[in-house]
Amino acid sequence: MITDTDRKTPDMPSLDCGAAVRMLWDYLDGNLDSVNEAEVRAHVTRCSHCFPHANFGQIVIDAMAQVRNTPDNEATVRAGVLSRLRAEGYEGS
Amino acid sequence: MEIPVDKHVAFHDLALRWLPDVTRFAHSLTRNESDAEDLVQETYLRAWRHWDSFRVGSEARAWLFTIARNAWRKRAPRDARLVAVEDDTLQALADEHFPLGAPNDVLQRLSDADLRPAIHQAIAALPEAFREVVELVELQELPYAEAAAVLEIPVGTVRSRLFRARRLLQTSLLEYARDAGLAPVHAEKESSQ
Ligand SMILES: [Zn+2]
Repeated sequence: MITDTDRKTPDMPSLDCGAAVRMLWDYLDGNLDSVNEAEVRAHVTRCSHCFPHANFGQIVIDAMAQVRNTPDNEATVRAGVLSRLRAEGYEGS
Repeated sequence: MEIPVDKHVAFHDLALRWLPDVTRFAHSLTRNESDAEDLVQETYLRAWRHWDSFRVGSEARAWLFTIARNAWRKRAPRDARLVAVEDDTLQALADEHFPLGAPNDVLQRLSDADLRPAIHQAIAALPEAFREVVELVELQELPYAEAAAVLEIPVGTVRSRLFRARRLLQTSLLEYARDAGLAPVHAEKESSQ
């Protein structure tokens, strides 16, 4: 593991593990500004403690993306909605 | 009363296009297919009756979600006691909202596995306050601010509930990994902080 002191350079202040993990969800969601993003990226790709946190965070985000599906009863629901709407004067499809 | 033709077109183009999203959201509220169908019908009926109050130019999806949620609340008011203790309960359920860690071999097996059934089950098991945030932000991809408006909570609360919900989902995935023989029983203790 690369320690904090090893990585400190004048133009790139490093994060400690606590700060990196605190910003991880925002990092994985792409919500950080470019400075913080670069810092968190530099930290988690090189820190053996934080890497599994980033990795597992990404796994749960990816898994949720996989369940973003269309309901399979859409045709039935649509037919029901349209028949109620038409009874109230809706003339569209 | 003559309804202008463009109202029908606008309703079709701006409101009915979100039917699959509204259906999924309704299902996340009712957790039952036939109640969800009723709720979707009621939502669109109300939307049609109040179409004049919809601000054309904004996206109708969050507006429809708000109608659906209000309709559902009227039908199934939450236990007052639950609302009162909600914050404490949520706090106890997910005190930490930092991402959990796990050993690399477990993570590798998790990313190779089909996690969809496990995630469905884990989302269904979330407390309602977390589940609705996950549904809106994660599954419907609503911006935090729109989800906050639908749920009538501050944006910061959306954010912290989402992160805590994800942490609970990670805990469920680790349980799933253990049950499926993908991880040793003590897996999450090794590298969580
Ligand atoms: Zn670290």
